[in-house]
Amino acid sequence: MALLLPLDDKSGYVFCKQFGFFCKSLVQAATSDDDGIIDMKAITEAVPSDKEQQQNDNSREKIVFEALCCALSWRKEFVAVALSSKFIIVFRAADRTVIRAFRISRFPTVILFDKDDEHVIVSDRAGHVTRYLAMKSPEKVEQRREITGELTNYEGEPLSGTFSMILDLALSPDGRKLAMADRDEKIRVSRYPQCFVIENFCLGHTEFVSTMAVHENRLFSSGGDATIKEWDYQTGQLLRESAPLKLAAQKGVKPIRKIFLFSLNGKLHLAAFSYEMKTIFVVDEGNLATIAEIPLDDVPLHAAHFEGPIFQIIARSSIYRICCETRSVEKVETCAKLLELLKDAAEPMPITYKNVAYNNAEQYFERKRTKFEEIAKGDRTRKGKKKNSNGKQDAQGMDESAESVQT
Amino acid sequence: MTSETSENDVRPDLSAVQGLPQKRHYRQRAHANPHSDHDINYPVCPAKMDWTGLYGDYANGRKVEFVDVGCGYGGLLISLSPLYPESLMLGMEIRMKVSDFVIDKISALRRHSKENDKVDYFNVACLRSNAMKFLPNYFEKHQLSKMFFLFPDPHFKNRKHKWRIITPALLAEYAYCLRPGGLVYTITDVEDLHDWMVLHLNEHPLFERLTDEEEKNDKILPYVVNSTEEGQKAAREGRNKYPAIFRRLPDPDP
Repeated sequence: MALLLPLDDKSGYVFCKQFGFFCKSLVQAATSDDDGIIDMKAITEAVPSDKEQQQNDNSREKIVFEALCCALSWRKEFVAVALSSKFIIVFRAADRTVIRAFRISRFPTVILFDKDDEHVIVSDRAGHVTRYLAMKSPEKVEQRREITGELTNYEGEPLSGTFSMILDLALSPDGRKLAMADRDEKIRVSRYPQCFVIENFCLGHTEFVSTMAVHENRLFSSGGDATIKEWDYQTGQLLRESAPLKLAAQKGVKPIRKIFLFSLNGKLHLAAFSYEMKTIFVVDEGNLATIAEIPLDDVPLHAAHFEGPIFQIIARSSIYRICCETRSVEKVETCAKLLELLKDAAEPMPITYKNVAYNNAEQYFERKRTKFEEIAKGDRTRKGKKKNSNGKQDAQGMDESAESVQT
Repeated sequence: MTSETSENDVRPDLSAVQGLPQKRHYRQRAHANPHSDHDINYPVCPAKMDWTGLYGDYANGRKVEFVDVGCGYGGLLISLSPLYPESLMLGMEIRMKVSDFVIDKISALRRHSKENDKVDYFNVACLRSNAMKFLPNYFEKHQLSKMFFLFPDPHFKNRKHKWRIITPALLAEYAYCLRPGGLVYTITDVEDLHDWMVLHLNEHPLFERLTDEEEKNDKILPYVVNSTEEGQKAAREGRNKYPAIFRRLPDPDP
């Protein structure tokens, strides 16, 4: 996968594999000048580790080194990148000075600065939400408890946990509420940083929730069911919802992976990206109706909002700049080194739809019916075992193992 | 803690009831993986839940107030049912055969009660579900007044501690479902698990343990200790039981 991180309307960072590229301008992504490149692998390799962390590192050696998520501080001074090697790097956006590089214990999924830029909030695949000091190292790292109650030697302050993978995080404009979207169709709104107080759940999606956008006291979300839903996150009330976003000719829906709010002609709109389709859906915020489907030249690996109607996507073939007003799609001039890396960039983090073949209720009730009929007819022994023709017990009868998978 | 004998059996006498299911047809191993995508039909949100499917007309005008998380063979529900006839109680059990046993048992009890022109046991029901994942799908904020965690899976291995039913993460969800002043009952015959549950409930800002005096005077505690299959088994085998009760505190001022 590859990531885009806009700093302002002109410049930004591109992360691919172990490198971060600084891009001075929107239309010219990354110079070939090595000064603009940050080598994240070299930075993390220089961080010392203790024994437990060493083991964790070794077990992850085979993993492809890449940036999984990134964030810009609210004052736009600092960039935080979370890596597949289970590291977080915080560096100064202007000159790439590393502020902090530290280990985390699990695979990160989303990273976000809190509103005072003191912490980064990080979610992971195991459903933990933890915050870490962003600007300075903790004075002392003591053994602590995870949100699951386990002991750990890793730094951090546990905030919240779900039994499901966290797929997106969003803060309210005042920074006092944290919304967490998960694979179990839920959005949980907690106080921040007192996340043990859950204020609301926004419930209505029928598949995983993979993206959220906040405007004042409203929250927009989308995901596996491809609908856009609008919530009052103070109450958890569903205000409005769209039909699933899909092309007319398309059978079924593709998950929406990223939505953005943006202003077009003074009116609020939404742009929705699927990381499986060469299309951007532009949605009118007023009635949640799709007003445009902009075709793309390639499938996005990641999408980012620059300013106004200007978006960029990063794909294996190049970086593209899209204007949602004129609906133009332009290839961004990209340096050869980055193009080479992009060619075999990994897929964005996979999110799986649920697989409920396990423990099938229908099968159980069918087996139960047969069993009780046999008991009624006297074909089974008192213990419920099936009788053979010669009256001996059949070891394969209905017993404790009957609910384990039998297909 | 006291070691109870089966003389302390507080379970109601059901000998007159015909057609009760026999446990031997519903035996299942004691563990289920709470992370699997089980074949569970849960509502999108509490408003979409049809409780009349579980309680019939008795659900009209009433909301579930007590939840027994991991209710096993339903001993607590069936014992408490006559004590709180106006309160709806729900047992949640992830194991299909075990939940099916409780469902069949409640059906038989209701049938018997109806034949005698009564509505006994219409306030209890059992649901196969995963409480670790779907509690907020069933219950609104602050809906419940009591939650029970009786003889939960101890998950002995260090690596599995995170699967325990009491963790800081899950306590936040229980606090969401419980009204301030609501109670959490825990009991286990595994001392290490008791210490774990008490540690995390004590450390959680939204729970406090009842005083010894309050615990001693609690009307429900004897049922928590003696009404379940696991509780009877522990007593038979001479194992200690460790109960505890915690109160849900109001949210701190924001």
